[in-house]
Amino acid sequence: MNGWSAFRVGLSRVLRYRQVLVILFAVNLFGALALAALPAWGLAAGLGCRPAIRQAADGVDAWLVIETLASWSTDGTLRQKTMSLGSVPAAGVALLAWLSGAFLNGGVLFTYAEDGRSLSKLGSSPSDKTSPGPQAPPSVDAPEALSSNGPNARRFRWRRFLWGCWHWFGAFLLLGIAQAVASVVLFVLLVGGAIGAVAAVGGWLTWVVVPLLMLVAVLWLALTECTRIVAVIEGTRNVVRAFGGAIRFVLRHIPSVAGLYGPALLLLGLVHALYRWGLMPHLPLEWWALLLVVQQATIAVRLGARLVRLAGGVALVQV
Amino acid sequence: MQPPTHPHTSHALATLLLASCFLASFFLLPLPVHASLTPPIASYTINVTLDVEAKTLAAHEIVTYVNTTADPISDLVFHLYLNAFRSADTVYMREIGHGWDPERTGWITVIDVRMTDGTPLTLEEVEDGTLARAALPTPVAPGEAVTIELDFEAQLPQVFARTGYAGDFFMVGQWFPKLGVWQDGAWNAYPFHANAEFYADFGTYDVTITLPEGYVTGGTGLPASKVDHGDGTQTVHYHAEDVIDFAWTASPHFLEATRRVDGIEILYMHLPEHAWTIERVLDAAEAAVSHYGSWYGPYPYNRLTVVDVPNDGQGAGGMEYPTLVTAGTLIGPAGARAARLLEVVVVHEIGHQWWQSMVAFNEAEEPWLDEGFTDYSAVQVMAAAYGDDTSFVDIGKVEMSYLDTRRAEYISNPRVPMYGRAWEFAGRDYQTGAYSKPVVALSTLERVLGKETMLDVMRTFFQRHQFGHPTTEDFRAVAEEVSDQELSWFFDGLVYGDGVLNYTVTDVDTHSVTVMRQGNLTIPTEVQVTFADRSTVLERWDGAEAEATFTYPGRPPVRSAEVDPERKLVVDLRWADNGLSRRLEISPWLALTTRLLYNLQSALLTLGGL
Repeated sequence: MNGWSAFRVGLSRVLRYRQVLVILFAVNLFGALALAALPAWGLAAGLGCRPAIRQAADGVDAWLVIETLASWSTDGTLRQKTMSLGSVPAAGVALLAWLSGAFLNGGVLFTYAEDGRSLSKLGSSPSDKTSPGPQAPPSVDAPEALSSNGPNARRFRWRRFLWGCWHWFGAFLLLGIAQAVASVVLFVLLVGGAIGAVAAVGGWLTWVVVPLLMLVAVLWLALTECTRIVAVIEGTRNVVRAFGGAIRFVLRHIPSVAGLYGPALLLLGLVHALYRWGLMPHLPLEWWALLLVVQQATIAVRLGARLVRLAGGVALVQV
Repeated sequence: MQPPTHPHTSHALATLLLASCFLASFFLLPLPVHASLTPPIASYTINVTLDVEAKTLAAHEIVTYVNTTADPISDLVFHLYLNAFRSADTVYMREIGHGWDPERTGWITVIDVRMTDGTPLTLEEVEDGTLARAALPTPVAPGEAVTIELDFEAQLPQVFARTGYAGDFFMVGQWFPKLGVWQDGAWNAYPFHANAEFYADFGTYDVTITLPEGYVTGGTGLPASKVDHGDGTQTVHYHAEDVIDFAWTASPHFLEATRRVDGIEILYMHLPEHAWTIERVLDAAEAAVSHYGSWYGPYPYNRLTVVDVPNDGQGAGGMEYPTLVTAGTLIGPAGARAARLLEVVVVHEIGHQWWQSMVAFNEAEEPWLDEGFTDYSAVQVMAAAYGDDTSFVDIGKVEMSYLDTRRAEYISNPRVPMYGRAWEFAGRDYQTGAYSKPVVALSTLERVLGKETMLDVMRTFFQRHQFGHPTTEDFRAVAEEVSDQELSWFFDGLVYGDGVLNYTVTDVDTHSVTVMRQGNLTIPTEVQVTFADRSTVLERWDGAEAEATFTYPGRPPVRSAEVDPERKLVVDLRWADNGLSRRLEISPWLALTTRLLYNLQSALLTLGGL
C-alpha cells in the first residue's frame, strides 16, 4: 500500500467512525472550556470594565503588553495573582493532554485496527480497495465479544472503544512521559546545534538547517505515532518493543510514510494558514459568535486531519 | 611588522610630511571644506603612526588653546582617556566592574611636553591617570593663545568600550591628550567614569595618520590628502573645523557606499559580511540627516561618515563623534528583520551630530541633555520614516514604536530624576535617567504643548546654542519663553525630581465620575465622560487634588469615563486604568475569551492529539 492509498483509507475510516471524531472534539472543547474559565473570570474582573480591553482584543497592543509586563515585574501581588491565573491553565493543559491522550489513543487506534481486521475477514469493500490482506494479525488479547466478526463488525462500538482506551492506558501514559522527555532533549540538542552551526558557518546555512530540522520533526512525529499503532496492532503493551517495531516499520516504508504524512501535514498547514491569514484578520471583534464558529470548525478539521493520519497509519502497518 | 616610529627622532620627518600633505591637499581635496562657523578655542595638529601588529600609536601633537574667558589661566588640564584601561584600579574599570584583561590593556604615555620655543613643561598625572595637569611658565591672559607640543605613545585596548582594535579593525577614539573646558574659573574635567562621556571646546583638527598600505581609513572631517610612500606605508591627512573631537577608523576590509542628501555626502564604511545592511543604513541615515536638518537646523559639514563594526568588535558600535558615527549589526539579518535596531542605532547616533557635536552639552555633568534630546529626536525620526506605531517592530499584527520601548524601560523604573552627574546614577538608573525618562518626558511635553510649539522650542534652543555649552537651565529659559508657559511640572517634577504619576478613573456611577491621581507628580489633563445617549463632555482637571468627582444630575446615565483620552501624558505609569465603563465590555471580553479557548484547544491538540 502506498502512502496516498493509506491517506484515502484513513479518510474513509474517519468518516465511517464519525463518533471517534465527535468524542475527541467534545473532550477537547469541554476540557479547554474548563481550563479557560479561571483566566476568563480574571480578565473580566481585571480589565473587563476598562475600555483598554478593546485594544487588547484588537490584536497585540504594544503599550498594553508593556504596561502589563512592567506592572508584572514591579508588583509582587499582581505577579502572584497572574501566576496563579496563568499557571492553572498551563499545568491543566499539560495534565489533561497527557491523561486524555493516553486514554483515548488506545480506543481510537483499536477501533481503526479492528476495522482493518474485519475487512480481512469480510473481504474488501468497494470504498476500501487497499484494505489489508488476510495476513493481518488477530486481535491478540481482546475478549471474544469485541472481535470483528458479525454484521456489526464495521460499526462504531462503545464497548470496543472503551476496552481499547483502558487496555493501553498505562502503557501510553508511560510512553507519553518518555516521548515528552525525549522530545525536549531532541529539541535542545538539534536546535542548539543548528544555531551553533549557523553562527559558525554563516546565515546561508539556515536554508539547509531549517528544512532538515523540519524533516527530523516529521520523522519523530511519525515514529511516536507509529509506536502506538504498532502496540495496538501487535496487541502489546510493551512500549519499548513497540518503539523498536515502529523504527523498523518507518525505515522500511519511508516512501509510504512520506506519502501519508505529506498530504496530512499539508492539509494541516493549509487549514492553519486559512484560519490565521485568511479569516482571523477579517473578523471584527464584535462578531465573536462567528469567530467562535470559525475557530471550532478549524479545530474539528485539524483533529480530523490527525485522525486521518492515525487511521492511515493503522492501514499501512496492517499491510 | 611595522616598527613604531619614535616621535623624537621622527619629528623633522613628520613636520616635512605634514607640510607636504598640506601642499597636496590643495590639489586632492575631494569635497569642499565648509567655511568656519565658530572661532576655534582648542585646536590640534597631530601626526600619528599606527602599528597594526602591536596595536600601538606613536604621535606628535601640537595644541593651541585660545583663552576666550575673562580669567588668566595658569595651567592646562588634559584628558588621557586611554589610561582608563591600563589597570583594574582605574575609576572606569572599578565602576564597570568587569572586562579588564591584563593581556589586553590600553594606556597612553606622554613622553615629552614643551612650549613651541622648546621650554620644557611637566605633565603631572591627576587621580587615576586619566587626567594630567601642566603648569604654564606664564598664565594665558584673556584673549591670548598658548601653543604647546606633546609626544605620546599609546596602546590601544582590545575593543570593549568604544575604542580599540578587533583583529585588523581599528576604532580609534579618545586617543590623544585632550584639553578640558575652562569654565567658572576652573578646568571642567573629571576622571574617565564608566557612564560619563565627553566635554570639549570647539576647534580645528589636522590629523595625519601613517599606516600600512591597503588599510582603508575614515575620520572626523574630510580627507585632505593621501600619500603612498612606496615602502608599504601610506599617510592620510584629515582636516576638520568647528568640531569638539577627532576619531578615526581603519581596516583593510572596509568597502564604501555613498549617498548624497541635501548636498551632504553620507559615506557608509561597511565590512563585506555586512553588505546586506547598506541600503538600510543609508536609508536610515538619509531620513535622519534630512529630518534633523529641516527640524532644527542644517548639518553644516560636507560629509557624514557611518562606520560599520565587526561582530567581534561590537563594543565600538553605537557611538558618536563629530561627523562620524559607528553603527552595529550584531543581531544579523533575521534579527534586523524582526526589529529596526540597526536603524535606531544609526538614527540615534546621527542625532548626536545636533545634540552633542553642535550643541556641545557637558555629557559628564548633565547626560540627560545629550542622550535624552538625541533619543527624543530619534523617536521623531523613526516615527516619520517608519510609521508612528511601527517604528521599531512591524511584523503582521505585532507592532511596536521606538517610543514604546523607551516607555517600557521608564515605567519599570520610574523614580529616577533626569538631572544628575553620570556617575551618580546607580545601576540601571543611568539608562532610565539619561535615555528613557527624558524620551517619555519630552514626548509628554510635546503632546501638552502641541507638536508645532515643541518643534519651535527645540529649533530655537538649537539655533541659540549651536557651538556652545548650554545647560538644563538654558533649556528651561527657551522652553518657557517659546511656549509662554511656566513649566515647573516638567523641570521640577521630572527633570530635577523623581515624581511619578498615574491617573485613573476609580468609579463610574449613574450620574457621577470619580478620578484619582496616584503619585506626587501633577500635570493638568482632561476627563472625557460619555453618556448613555453617546453624548460626551470634556472636563479640565488640574490634578492638584488626589481625587476629584464630577457629577451630572440632569443628564442621561453615564456610560464610561476616561482621563487623558488622547494619551498625551506618556509619563502616566498605567494607561490601561485611565478609562472605566459602568458595565462589562462584553464584545471584546468575548472576543478575547474565544481566542483564549482556541489557544487552549490548540495546545491540547498539539500536546495530546486531542
